[in-house]
Amino acid sequence: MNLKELTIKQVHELLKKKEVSSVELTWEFLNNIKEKDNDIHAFLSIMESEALETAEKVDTRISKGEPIEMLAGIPVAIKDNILIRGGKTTAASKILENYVAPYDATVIKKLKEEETVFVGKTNLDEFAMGSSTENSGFGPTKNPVDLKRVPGGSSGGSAAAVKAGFCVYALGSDTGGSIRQPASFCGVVGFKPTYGAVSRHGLIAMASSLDQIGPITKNVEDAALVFEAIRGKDELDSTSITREWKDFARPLDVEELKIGVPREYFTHGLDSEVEKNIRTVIAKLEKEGAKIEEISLPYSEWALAAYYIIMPAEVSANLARFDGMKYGLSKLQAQSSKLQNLMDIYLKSRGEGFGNEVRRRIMLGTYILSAGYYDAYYKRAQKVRRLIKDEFDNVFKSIDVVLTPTTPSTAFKFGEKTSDPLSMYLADIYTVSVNLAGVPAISLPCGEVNGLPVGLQLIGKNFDDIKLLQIAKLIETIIKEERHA
Amino acid sequence: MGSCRSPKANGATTILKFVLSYEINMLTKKEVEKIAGLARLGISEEEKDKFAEDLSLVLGYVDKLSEVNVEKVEPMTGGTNLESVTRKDDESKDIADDEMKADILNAAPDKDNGYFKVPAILK
Repeated sequence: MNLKELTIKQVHELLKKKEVSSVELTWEFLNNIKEKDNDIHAFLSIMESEALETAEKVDTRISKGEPIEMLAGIPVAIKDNILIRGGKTTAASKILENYVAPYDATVIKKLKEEETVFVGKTNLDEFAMGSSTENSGFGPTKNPVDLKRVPGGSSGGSAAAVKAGFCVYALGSDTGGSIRQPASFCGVVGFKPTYGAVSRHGLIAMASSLDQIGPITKNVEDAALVFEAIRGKDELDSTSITREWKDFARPLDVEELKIGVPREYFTHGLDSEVEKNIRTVIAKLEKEGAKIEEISLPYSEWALAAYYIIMPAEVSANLARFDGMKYGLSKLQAQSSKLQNLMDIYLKSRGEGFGNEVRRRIMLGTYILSAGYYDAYYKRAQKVRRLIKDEFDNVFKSIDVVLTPTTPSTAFKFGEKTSDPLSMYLADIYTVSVNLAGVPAISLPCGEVNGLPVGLQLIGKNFDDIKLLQIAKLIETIIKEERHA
Repeated sequence: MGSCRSPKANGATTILKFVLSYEINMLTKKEVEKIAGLARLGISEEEKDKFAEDLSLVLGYVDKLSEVNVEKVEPMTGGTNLESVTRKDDESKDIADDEMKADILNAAPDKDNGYFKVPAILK
C-alpha cells in the first residue's frame, strides 16, 4: 500500500469493500510514523491507543454491515493548537508544555461523530506564529521533500505529515497563510475556508478576526470532503455563520471560467522559476478555453503592513490569558502563594513560557494599542483592511477566481530567514490579504523547481468556497494532465 | 499624516522594494522596558537591545501605511459583518460536566474548594 498516495475517497472504498480494515490501515500509518518521524519531527504527540480503539469500533460496524461516514476509520493528524479532550495540547509553547485539554474543539467533535481516527498532534510555530516551524518550542519539523529545508509554517507539522504518508489528511489553522504556505512548500493541498465557515471554538486563539481552521490533503476532492465534515454554525463561536452550501460534485466547464491574474503578485520579489511555472499553467488554462484577465489589486502593496498591525494587536489581547494563574506554566508556588508578588508571577511565568517571536508580537501589539498610537496604527490599519476587502469584492464582480503564486519562492533552508523578523514575515506576502478580506483560498501543487514543490493559490469570493473548490479541482486535473503529457 | 499617493498609480510597483527603503526610528531600551512591563513579559537585560532593534524594524515597516489615503474609509473591525451576536447563557452547554470542571481546576497551580487561588491583588 502506498501510504503517501492514499486519498480519503480511496480509503473509504477500500474499507467498505473490506479490502483493508481500519485497524490494519491505522497500524500501517503508526508504523510509518515510528520509522520515519525521528527524522522529520512532524508530531508532538502520538495517540496510538485512542487511534486503535476508534479503528476497531469502525471495523466492527463494517463487519456488521452498517453504513459508515466518509471519514470513518481514516487516520488524521491534528495541528497541536486544536484541542482534543484528555490529550496534551501545547501550541508548541513551553507555557503549555503540560497542558491537557479539558474539552474538544468543535471541529474535533464533528470529526469524532464521523469516527475518524486521530493518530497524533502535529508541530507548529509557537502559537502558530511563524512561517517555517523554526519557532516551535520543541524543535523544528523538516520538509519530507528535502530534510535540509523547512516545511513552511505555521502548520508545518500537518503539511509534512500528509506529505510523508503519516496520515491520510490533516487539519491546520491559517491566520496569514499558515495552511497554504506549508502546503505549497510540501507539495500538498491546503485550503483556508471563508472566515466564519468553520467554528474556531477550541482553536487556541492567535488573531481572532483572522484565524480559520482548514484541511491539508493530497487532492482537492479530499479538501472538499473534510470541509463538508467540519463546517457549520456553532453557538460556541459567535463569528460562525449559517449557510446553505452547494454540492461540490456539480461539474464545471473550463470555458465558462474567468480567471483574474493580479499583476501585483508577479513583481520582482517573485522567484523567476516559480513565476515560469505558474505562467505555464495560466497558458495551459487559456488554451483549454478559460478566459484569463490581467487585473490589479493595488492595495496588496499595503496588506502585509496592515497585517503586522492588526495581527499583533489581537495577539497581545488573546495571549493575556496566559497569566500563570489558571493553567500552563506557572511560577506561583502553591503553598507560599501569599508571599509572592503578583507582578513577579506574571513576568516570570510569561517571560519563561513564551519564546522570542511570541514575546516580540505581544510587545508589538501592546505598543500599537497603547495610548497615543492607537489611531495612527490600529485604526489606520483597520481602514486599509476595509480597502483590501472592497478591492476583492470589486474584482469578483467580473471574475470567478484570482490566481497567484502561493509563495514568492520554494521551501527555504533552515536558518535562512531567522536573523531578523521581517525577512520571515515576507514569506507570507501573497497569503495575508486573503485573511484580512476573510475570503477563501486554496494552494495546489503546481510542479517543481529544482526538485522543490511550487504552490499555486486560488482565491474565491466570500462564501463561494464550493465554487472555489470546484475550480481548484478542474485546474488540478489540467495541471496533472500537463505533467503526464 | 498620509500623503495622497494614489495606489492606482503604483499598480505595477513592486511589493518588496520598500523593505530596503525606509528610515527607522530606534526604540530606546527604556521604551522596550516600558512595553514589556505593560505586556507583563519578563525580558533579560541582554534581550532588551535585540528586542529594541527587532521592534523598531517592524514598526518602521508598518509605518508604510501612512502612504495610503484613508479619508472617509470606515474601519473594518472584524472578520464578518455580524453585529452583537448573542446567545442564552446556558451553563449546561459547557462546564456542567463535573469531570470537565475537575479537569479545568486541576490544571491550576493552586486551588481551593472549587476556586482558583491567586495571590492577593490588593494589599
